[in-house]
Formats: sequence, structure tokens, C-alpha cells
Amino acid sequence: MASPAQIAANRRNALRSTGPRTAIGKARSQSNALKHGLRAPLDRNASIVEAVEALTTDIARLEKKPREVVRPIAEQQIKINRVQQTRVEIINRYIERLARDDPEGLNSQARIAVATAAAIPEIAPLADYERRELSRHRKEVLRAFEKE
Amino acid sequence: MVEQSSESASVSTEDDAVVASEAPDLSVSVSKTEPPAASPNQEPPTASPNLVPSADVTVQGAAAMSVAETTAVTAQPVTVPPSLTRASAIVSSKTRRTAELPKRILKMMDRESRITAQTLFLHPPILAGQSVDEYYDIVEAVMLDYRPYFYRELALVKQIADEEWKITTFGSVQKELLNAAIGKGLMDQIADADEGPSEDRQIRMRAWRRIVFGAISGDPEMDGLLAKELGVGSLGLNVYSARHLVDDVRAHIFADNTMNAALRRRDGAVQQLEKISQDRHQRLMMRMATAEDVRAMQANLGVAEYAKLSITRRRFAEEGSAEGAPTADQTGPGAQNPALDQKKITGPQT
Repeated sequence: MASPAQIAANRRNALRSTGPRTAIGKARSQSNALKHGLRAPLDRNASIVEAVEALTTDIARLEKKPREVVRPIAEQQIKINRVQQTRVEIINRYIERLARDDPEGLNSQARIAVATAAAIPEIAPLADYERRELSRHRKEVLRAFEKE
Repeated sequence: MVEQSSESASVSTEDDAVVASEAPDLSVSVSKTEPPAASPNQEPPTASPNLVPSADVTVQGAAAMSVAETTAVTAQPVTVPPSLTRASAIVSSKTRRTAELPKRILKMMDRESRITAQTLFLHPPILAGQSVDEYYDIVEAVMLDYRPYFYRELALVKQIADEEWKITTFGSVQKELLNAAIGKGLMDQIADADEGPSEDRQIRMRAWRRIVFGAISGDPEMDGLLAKELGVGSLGLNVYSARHLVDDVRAHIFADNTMNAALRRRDGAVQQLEKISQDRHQRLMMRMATAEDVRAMQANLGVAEYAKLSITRRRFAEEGSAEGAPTADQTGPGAQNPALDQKKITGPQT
């Protein structure tokens, strides 16, 4: 337990900490805590918003439903896809690392196996995200189509 | 809300994300912390028919030495450090971030379903080194079985294909990890039994490694050599390999759990699809079908089969003047939807 004097000293020292000063530095550091962004709202990313809009349009046209009814379904579907893509990105990063270190040593199947085993700490939490998003997607589909 | 990372030093920007060329990018920013190096005792299941180590192996630096020592010597001259071009080619050539459904699959659907399917299947979950065509083979098989029409069915087809793909991938991961453990176990066994001169030991072990991992990866020549030297059936799980299995036990448990979850979800999706199909069929038989039901049935069954079904229903209605049987003019897809009269059936829109 820090003494009051130590706490005061820490606070004085903290005032000297400058952090990033330039716009580039601030832009970089604001993403320091970003892990995968799966919890972030979809509207933060323009390309994701675009994907949601495209899928909403498609579903509304196919199901002949108003866009506002099917939009939650499209959002959940995009969230599911994002979880899958995140898993693929992470494992591919490990595969790339293995390929760089030893391009001729492992065949592709063995490389995937080694990369997947190494990536487990990062991809294991994604299973919960995926399960949750699939469950929400199912609920949204039921809400939109079953209760007619 | 942004997930908090324990790795305070990791920096990631949107610019870091690889952006797909045309399609909307669904990728998320994954922090670019370098993955840890592969386990140093990882054995490469590659083999060369040449048992004499290549003299062209060049090693630079301590790290490169460790890599070179722990990998089998291949017949091809190996230059360390490897070409980055080669590494990136392995990833980029075999990974498609976006893909279009093959025409053979698109032909199964009508125009509206096709547009939605293309959006849904834009980002197949294919790892570097996997074949996107194999994934589409699964999609095609599921589509052939269920002929999806509405979004809900398309989403279920996608889920079935994705879960099936996951089961295949993680099954393969388990197999490769087991193979590696067996190979490493056999190498330990050989090393224990080795009584040759110590100065040649490293060369002998490298040659053995090529034989062992060549046999494991299915090279018949190496398999024959192994059978000749050690006897048939020398590859297998034993005390030696068990020690290495323990190293991968976490990966095996993870793969098991992932495959079990995928199996449950796949079966659940199959049941839902079958129920949807049955319900639609039932509604059609009970003349409660909507215009969309009729179109979906046409797409599912094909025009010929659909017409046959309608004729059967009509005949049943005409012959079976039993109580409750519908009259002839009430049957047929156009009974409730005049626009969809039997004569006007032209098949699914293409």
C-alpha cells in the first residue's frame, strides 16, 4: 500500500508525463487498447456500415419486408461474419509468420495446425463472441419472420 | 466501446488493416503484436528422398541456427533467412479475402436469392493454404440438398457450410498435431537407441528425421525405408509420443471443443432447414401457401416436379370426392393466387 507521500509523488511525476504530442502519435495511441474491435459499435466503421446497408437492402427485397424490420438481422449477420474474419485474420498472421521463418519446412496442412495451436490464446475468446452473435441472430430472425 | 488490451505496448491503426479491393471490408483491426515464434521442437513433416543433408544450407545468426537445427534438411538448397516474397506469396496466393460464389452454385437460385447469397458468402472463412473451392463444394452440396430461397434458409446454409468447414479444419489440425507427436516420439526412440559414432550423430538424426516425417506425411518411399529399417508398424502412439502429446493437449482440447460446438450448431441448422422445408410443403398441400411459397417450391423442386406435385394434388381432388377433399377448382397453385395459375408456371426466375 503506497503511503500518502508516495501517492503525492506519483501524482507529481505523472504531471511530467507528456504522452503523445503529435496528431499521428495521438492517432496511434488511441488504438493502443484495441484488441479486435468486435465489441465496438458497427457504425464506427464506414465499410461495415456499407456492408450492413447492402445486406439490409438484399434481405428486404428478398423477404419483401421493410428495411427497419430486417436491419437488426443484417447487423447480426455482419457481426457473425466479422467474428469469423477475425479468427481467420489471427490464424493467417501466425501462418504468415511460420511461412516467413521456414518457407519450405512445413506443408500447408501442418502449417495451419501449428499456427492454429499457437493462436489458441487469441482465438479462444472469439468462440464466446460467435456463440453470442449467433444466438442474437436467431432471435432477430424469429422476431422478424416467425411472429407474423 | 473498445476492448481493453493487456498488452499496453501494442499499437494498431485502421491503416494497418488490409483492405479488400472492391467489396466492403468486414475485417476488424486486430492488434499487430507479432505472434510468438513457432515451438522450437516443432517437427516439419516434410521429407526428401535424399538422405544426405544438403551442403547448400547456409545459416546466419543464432536464431537462424536454431531454426536450421530444428528443421529437416530438404533436398532443395535452403537459404536462411528465407525470402519474404516467398512467405507473402504463400499467404496471398492462397487467401481470398473476398470471393464470388461459383456460377454452378448461383445457377441453383433465382435472381433475388442470388444477390443475397453473394452478399452473404462474400467473405468465406478460408485460411491461408486452404482451398476456397473445397469450401464451395460444401456450400454446393448443402444447397443441392435444401435449395434455399429466402434469407433465413440462405443464412442457415451458410451456417451449415461454415460449421462443416470448421469441423474439417480442426479435424485436420488434430490429425497434424498427432502426426507431429508420433514423429517426435519416434525420433526420441531412435535417438535413445542410437549407438553410432557421436561425430556423425547429427547427420544420422537429420536423415532419420527425413525418413520419419516423410513416412508420416505419406511419402511411400520414406515409408518403405522406415519399414525396412525399423519394421512395419513402427509408427504409432507409444510412451515416447505420449510425452509430446502432452505438449499439445491444450490445442487438442480446444479443437475438440470447437468441433463439438460446430457439430451441434450444424445439426441444429440442418433441423431448422428441414423444418422450414416441411412447413412450406405442408402449407402448399393445405393450399395455405403464399405466392412466395409457391415460387420457393418451384425453385426447390424444379418446374417439372412441381407440376407433377400439382397434378397429383389435382387428381387426388378430382378422384377423391371424399369428405374434406378439395374440389378441382380449388387446387393448384393458382387457387388462392390467380396470378400463379398452373398454366403460367414458367419456373424460377433466372
